[in-house]
Amino acid sequence: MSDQINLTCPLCGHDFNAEEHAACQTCPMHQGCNLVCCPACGYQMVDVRRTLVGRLAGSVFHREYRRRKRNRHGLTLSDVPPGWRAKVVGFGDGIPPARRAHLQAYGLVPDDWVWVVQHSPVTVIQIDQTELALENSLASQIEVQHIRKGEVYEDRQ
Amino acid sequence: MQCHGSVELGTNVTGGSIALVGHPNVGKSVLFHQLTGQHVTVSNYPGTTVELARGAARRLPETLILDTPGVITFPPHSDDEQVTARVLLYEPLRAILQVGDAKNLRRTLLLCVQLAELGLPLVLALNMMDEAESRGVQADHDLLSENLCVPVVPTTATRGRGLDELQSALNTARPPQLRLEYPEKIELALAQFNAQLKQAGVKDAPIHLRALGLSWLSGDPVTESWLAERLSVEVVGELVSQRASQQGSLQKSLVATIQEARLAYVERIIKRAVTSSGQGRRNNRAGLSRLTTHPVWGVLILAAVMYALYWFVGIFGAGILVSLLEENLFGQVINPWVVGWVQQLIAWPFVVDLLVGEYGLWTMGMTYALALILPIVATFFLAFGVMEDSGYLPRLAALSNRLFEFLGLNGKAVLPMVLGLGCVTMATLTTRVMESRRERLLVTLLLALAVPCSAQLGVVMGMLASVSLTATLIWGGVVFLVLLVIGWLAARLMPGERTQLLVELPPLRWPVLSNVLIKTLARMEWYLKEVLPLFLVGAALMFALDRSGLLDWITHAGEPLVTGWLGLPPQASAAFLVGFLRRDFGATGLFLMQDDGLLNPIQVVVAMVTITLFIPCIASVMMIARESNWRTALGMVVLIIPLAFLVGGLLYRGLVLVGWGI
Repeated sequence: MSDQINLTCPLCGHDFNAEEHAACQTCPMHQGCNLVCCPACGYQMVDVRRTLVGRLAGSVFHREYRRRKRNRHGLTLSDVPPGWRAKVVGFGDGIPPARRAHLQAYGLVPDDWVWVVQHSPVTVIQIDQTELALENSLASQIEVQHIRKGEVYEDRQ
Repeated sequence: MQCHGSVELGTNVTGGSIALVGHPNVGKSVLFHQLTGQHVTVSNYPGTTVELARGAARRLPETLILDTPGVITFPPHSDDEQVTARVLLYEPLRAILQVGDAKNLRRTLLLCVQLAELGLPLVLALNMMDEAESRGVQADHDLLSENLCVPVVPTTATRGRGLDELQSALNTARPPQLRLEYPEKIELALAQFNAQLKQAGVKDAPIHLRALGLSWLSGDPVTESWLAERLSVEVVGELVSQRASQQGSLQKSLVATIQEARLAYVERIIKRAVTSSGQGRRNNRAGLSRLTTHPVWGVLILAAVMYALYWFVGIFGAGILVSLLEENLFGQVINPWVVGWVQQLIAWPFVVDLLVGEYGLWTMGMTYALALILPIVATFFLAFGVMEDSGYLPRLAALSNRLFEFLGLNGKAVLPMVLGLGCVTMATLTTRVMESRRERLLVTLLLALAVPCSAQLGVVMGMLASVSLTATLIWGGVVFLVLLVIGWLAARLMPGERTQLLVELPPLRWPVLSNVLIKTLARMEWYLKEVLPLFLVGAALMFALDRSGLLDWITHAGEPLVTGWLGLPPQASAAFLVGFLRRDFGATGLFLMQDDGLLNPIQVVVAMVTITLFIPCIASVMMIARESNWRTALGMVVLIIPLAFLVGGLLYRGLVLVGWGI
């Protein structure tokens, strides 16, 4: 699952996937290495998810760590942190057909990106120019993948 | 999938009505007003149009325009959506005018494809172009028109932009020849359906037979009832078993398979015709919009909004305006003048008493309605109109969802509950925004039981404020507790599942003053029409009881309950008696008793709690019966009245026990 979260370089802002970064894979010392380099500018940083303390602190502070640990079967919309976007994969069986039809009509369709605004008191998402408020229990039945930071329109550019 | 497929037999495009169809909150009602010159209540909240509005088109001769409730998608799932689906299948339509949101093209086009398949002349008005432009949403309208096979007209209804083009497009609208190709099994099922209908002798339908087949396969209840009216039970049975076996041969449901084909088509159009789907929201209003649903700031904003509402309605309306009208205008100017004239003109003391006596039609009925109640409801409806048009109410639904979850409902229940603070009868009508019958019944019960209307609230607040803040808190706490306990119990006793919240948050907008004023006036007219006759009947009833000596008898007969159980003076029986007509009328009677020094603090609190939990009024009971049935309405009355007295009596004993107010 970790390969679905991208890193953003603090120096140049480049968005990249550390797991796919070829240079690391070819490095003879990459086993157990906690460092990662930005493929765009070469800036070296610690990948917090590769450190024990980073993972522990992350599990306390970051929703996505907690949720992912609990929900090993797949990411859902309720796992996506506020301010992040995710690609919709499908709907859980628990969503009644009427609700599913409404969600689709609002633009929540597979392979499209939605942007999560907040999770409390209800989940608020943005699809195109529509903002939807949906109950967290409903959001937890909407399967997503490829979560990334930032608004949806950034993807379309 | 193209525009030039063959037209099947069965397309019937006659009649003189044009139906406005579209998603909720896209400006259908504004466009209706622009096209007909007639006003319907418009608000920035889905579910405003609860009933069909019809009006003659100003520039289209002999044409009626029908404003339908918003639909999210077909087949219909809520009562509102079914109203629209019935219009499309049962009304003889000359054309359909789809009003679409120009900034949300995906869902607009999805509905457009569904409407185009009906085979009725169709025009797509891409409304709210100003908002789309400000957000950078750009589309090639000619290309959209070409792909959908319908004229596409960009409009901004609130500013009257694009209306001329729209009306000329409506004049020349033709049935679109859009024919989507569905997966093979669906096409096979459609062919079987058509063959079955032709065999049964149905060769014609108000909509395209192919569209009828798609609706049937999607499980549209309106299509099912239309077919059941025209086909024998055996044929319908065969169609049902055919549909079941077709469903069995598919991995996904029939409706999902059909919808996915439409979605794929829409996606292709979007890719071709939409040049920019816009940027994220970056303006101040978007920031404020986020704050209104924020877990901390949202609650603070809600508290500020509620305080502003309380100040405007409770202090300004119920305090300052009522005192100006009741004491100064009616008490010192109008009533002495009317009494003087009546006494001069009419010689019979009986009639004089009936008109201007203690329980006179004018001095009691009209004065209560115009001087006490009117300013309160006017200020409430004005404030509510501002809240509606600003788009704040759906945010309130999101914020209050957890509370309503406890009551077996979802946050959408907040609309009828808040509107109930204005008028419970009107709010009962808006329970239609709830998706299931179970939820509508639960909201109706809570409205009838524990939501005081603004008229009553004004009187209650006035009385309690003169006792102490603690009195107000006890009253509010007890009523809220009853609401929670009864709501929680009812949700667990009533069978059925709770519907999870899914609500669109429309952009926050500055309310248009003229729109708010017009609908406040329209609501006041509605309210007065309802309230005045009942107040006059109430006054006449009191007069008759007083004259016949029955009032004393009732006061005496009600003593065990009113005096013994509730601990109130015997005269309060009369207030509860007229409370059957309207509980604010009853509350006003208690208000006058307090003025005369007949009630101590405990009695004020007990009386207010009891009258608040009472049934709202005869009109609301009739509305409950209309929206559900008489059995439900009577059931609620039988539940609510004893409960109101039970809670009142228990509160009286509790307060005496702790020694409060002595």
